[in-house]
Amino acid sequence: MALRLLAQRSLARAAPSHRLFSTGAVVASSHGLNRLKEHYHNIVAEDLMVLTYDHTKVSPPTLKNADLEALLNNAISEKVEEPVVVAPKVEEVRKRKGGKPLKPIQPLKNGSNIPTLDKITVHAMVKDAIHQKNHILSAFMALQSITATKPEVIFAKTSVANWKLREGMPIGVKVTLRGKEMYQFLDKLVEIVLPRLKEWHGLPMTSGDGNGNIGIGFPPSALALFPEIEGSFDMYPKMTGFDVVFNTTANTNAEGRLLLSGFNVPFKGAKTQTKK
Amino acid sequence: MIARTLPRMLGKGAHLSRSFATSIQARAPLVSSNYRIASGIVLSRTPQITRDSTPFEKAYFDYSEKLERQSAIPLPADFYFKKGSLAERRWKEDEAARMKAMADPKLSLSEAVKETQVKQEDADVTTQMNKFETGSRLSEADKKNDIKSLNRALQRTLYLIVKKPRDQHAWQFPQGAVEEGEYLHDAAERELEEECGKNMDVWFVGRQPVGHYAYKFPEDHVAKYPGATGAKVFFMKAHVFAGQCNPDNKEVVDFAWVTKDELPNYVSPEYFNAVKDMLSDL
Repeated sequence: MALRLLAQRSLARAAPSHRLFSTGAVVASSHGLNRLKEHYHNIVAEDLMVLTYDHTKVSPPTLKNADLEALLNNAISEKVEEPVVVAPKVEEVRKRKGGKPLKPIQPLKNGSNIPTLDKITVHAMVKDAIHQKNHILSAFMALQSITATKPEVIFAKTSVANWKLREGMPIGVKVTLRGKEMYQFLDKLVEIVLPRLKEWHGLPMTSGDGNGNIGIGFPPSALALFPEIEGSFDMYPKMTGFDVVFNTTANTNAEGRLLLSGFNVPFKGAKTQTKK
Repeated sequence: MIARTLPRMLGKGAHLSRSFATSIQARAPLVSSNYRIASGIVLSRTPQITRDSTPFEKAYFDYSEKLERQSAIPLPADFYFKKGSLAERRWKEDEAARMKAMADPKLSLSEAVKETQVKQEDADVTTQMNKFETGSRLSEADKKNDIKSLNRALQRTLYLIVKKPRDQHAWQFPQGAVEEGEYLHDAAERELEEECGKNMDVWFVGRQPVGHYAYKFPEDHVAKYPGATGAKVFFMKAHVFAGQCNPDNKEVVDFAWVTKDELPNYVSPEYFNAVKDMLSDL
């Protein structure tokens, strides 16, 4: 009896008239949409599919409706199979030049594994924190301001006697951005910070860790270019340099660079190199 | 004879042959298993502004924004703003608007702040000097329904279709026969320039076709030009950045920039069915 009452009440609450939003006429706007995310899904993803397509590495088609004509033709043209002499299979051992560790086999190309941005890691190591722990606070507040996310403090994993670093000391701060925050940070970086960097012509064409993840290191002066820091610059006693790592689902560096250039991250081409 | 063998000798760099003899005849079109091979161009103008969000998307955004605020750490205001400064006063006004919006489920957090910011800007003399107004999401071309303008349907992808001087199947994507010894992407670039003029800044996305369409020639056409019974069109994807189509008035007499939804009004159902999966939904 009580269960039924509960169900009645909760269902009544779920009735459309009780919802908080109305689907009536509102002013047309892109309110609530993320500019870069929309750009990726509408333009970049399709272009990446075409640009990175490889006819030799294609998944079998997953058509909803089978190609009846081809199936029929296949059935009609079925021939008597001749006995084929099969060579003994030699177990293939994959090797990489120079005895380097093997890389995972690339998945076959299809619409579901188009390279996409997985996460952005913003990370700063504060060397001064060895001598005085509170130096880390400045970097902490700065990263929190520019990413709108609470950073985590990184503690030293090992002791390094030369640096007077002992295990367990707070030595850096790190933020991992995903989804909405990630795209907002990327937008800010590409539109405001990168164009104002001095003596920087773009990422080198060799950038990437071999698996499609790309990192940029920024000098302390770059931190002041973020609009959040610019306004309250005096509040930060120390500016720190920081690294931004773009983690992509791409499998090769070339694909990772293609993806980032789709987000308007500049790359130093051959042309700018010859100009020097 | 020379005209036939020279491109073959030169092989892949077939367009080089023109520098050897300008009076060289047009090369034979490429025919493969009774089909003439053609190269088509899907030339698109990408969306210029972010699309309108649906009422549900708006409501979801407003709701999740309020949910996030409830669990967010409070802003250390004394760190960011000096006491008694203009910035602090403005932030306090924004904060009051946010508190009001939190209490009322019909109000949006970010829109409430936008409203107070507009008020602040109106009150401030310096910001009024360089105040900018956001443009309309509908352009002049939308109001006039000018299908030749690249400034129409700013939220949608526009595709270039051209009109050939004939009664049936007049409208289609720009296309032309691939010559022997020519690459598909070379043929696409050449055809686009021949049919639509040089006045366009175009980027071809890769060198691989994005789709194909095979059709049979009408019988009188086969009788007139024997050798092929139909054509296979391979479509290359391209984006336009600037410029405008300038039809040559021989092969092409008219052009239009249309969205995917408008395309069936111009082309035959078979043609639309063959090309629809290459086109972006937006």
